[in-house]
Amino acid sequence: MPQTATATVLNILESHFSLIVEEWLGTQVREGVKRSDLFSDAESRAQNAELLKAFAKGVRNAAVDSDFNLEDAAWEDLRAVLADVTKERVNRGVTPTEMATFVLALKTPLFARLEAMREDDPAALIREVLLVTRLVDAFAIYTNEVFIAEREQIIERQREEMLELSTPVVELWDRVLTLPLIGTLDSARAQEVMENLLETILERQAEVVIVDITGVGTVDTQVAQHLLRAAAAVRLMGAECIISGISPMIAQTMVQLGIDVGTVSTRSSIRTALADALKKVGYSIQKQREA
Amino acid sequence: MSGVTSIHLVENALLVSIQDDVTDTEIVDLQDSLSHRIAAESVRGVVLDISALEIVDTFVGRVIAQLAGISRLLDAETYVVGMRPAVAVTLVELGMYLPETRTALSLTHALSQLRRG
Amino acid sequence: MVAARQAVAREMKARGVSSIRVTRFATAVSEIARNAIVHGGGGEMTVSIDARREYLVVECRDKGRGIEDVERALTDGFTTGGGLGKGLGGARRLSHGFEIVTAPGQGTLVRMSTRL
Repeated sequence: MPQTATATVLNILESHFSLIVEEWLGTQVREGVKRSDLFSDAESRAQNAELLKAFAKGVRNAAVDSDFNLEDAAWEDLRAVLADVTKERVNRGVTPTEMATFVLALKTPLFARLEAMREDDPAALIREVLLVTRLVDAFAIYTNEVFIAEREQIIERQREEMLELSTPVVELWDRVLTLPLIGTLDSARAQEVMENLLETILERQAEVVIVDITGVGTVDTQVAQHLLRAAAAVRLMGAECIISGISPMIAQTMVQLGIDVGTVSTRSSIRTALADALKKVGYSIQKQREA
Repeated sequence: MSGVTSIHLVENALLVSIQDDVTDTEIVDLQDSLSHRIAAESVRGVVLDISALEIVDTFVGRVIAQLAGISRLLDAETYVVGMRPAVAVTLVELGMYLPETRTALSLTHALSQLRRG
Repeated sequence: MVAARQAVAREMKARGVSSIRVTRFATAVSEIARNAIVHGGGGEMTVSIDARREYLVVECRDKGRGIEDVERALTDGFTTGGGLGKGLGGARRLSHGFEIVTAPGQGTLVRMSTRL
């Protein structure tokens, strides 16, 4: 049973449903947040209607006094609809401000009606206005959270795609893989690169992996550790790892830092690394004729 | 459910497949029984297939390393095959590089290495 | 103990966590569970999800001697003996959240979590 303080609001939502949807749309247009370039009238109207329906359901079933908590189960539908609408709008390019204002615009038609209905009882009017304010504000804040989470997911997806593009594992020869590393190698990236490499070794049953670091800018202790760990993991899976592309400067840095490469093979150029690798898988290179 | 491990003798090498739900006790017993069999049957090698293991922690890693050492003293080489990528990454993160243990991509690879002596 | 790490793995997989992350965390749980049994004389483990459904939390409590020098226990002592060696520090590296509450004679509680 809804408390009396909310009965008015519920009444408005239920009896003037379609009108409110329209007026809300109107406010959204006036505030410039409808984005007709991205959403048709029909789509925006449908979004408003869904939201309003879920809003009404929530008011009917949940506590809206001082115990109001949008995380309650009774508001599950509304949260779901808010999340869906927000994601839809984010994916088409709506900004956070536009999204929040889109939701907040609902206050205008609701206040207008409250004012009309409560002309005689200012105290009740204020109570109800506060109630609506609290509710709609909470919705707007929630859409903001969903918005941010969605943006972060998009960024994460793009980051992963970029990572895959920039660190391809190439099968250079039968059972010989090569991984040309380019740029910086931070912990997160090193982790992903290593996972990708190991999965590929399994898939292609590769016996030798050449990790080429010609394109890696600086090799400090951290980077060296990542490389050695990767080499160790490759060995644990049963393949061999050759690190190639060690420049004189890198060699000096590594010695000065006291980095012990241990049993990992290292070569200064891919050429020698490749020759080694082919030998290991049973091939020899023969010159056919003079160039 | 017990991690029933199967052991076969192929080309003078012991093939051991370890199951995913193997317990600490079973692993230690395995190490023990393998050591005895290596000596008793003049085995040249042990191939430990851990492809069924989703989780290999430092204890199991240590037992494997010990088995490699023991077998070497008894004139046999131990090869670990089938390590899953996720396991390899995790072991390395735990600092277990198992340097004294030989590894191979598969049973076939291990056997061919054993053949070469 | 096998049951413990398998239970954790099951829960993580049911929530769609990638197999690499499942292995990493389940291995960490295995280390801690073993410590509790071997050094703590056995203990209790609870697996739960946090309120925001973002983390899987494992708590492992034992009534053993407690850890005297937590910092030292966490640094990798590459001992080949059965000591706390690499297990604890490794477990921390493999988890997203990791806390130890312990005192000599008062047992040990390890709370570890991973993002879902």
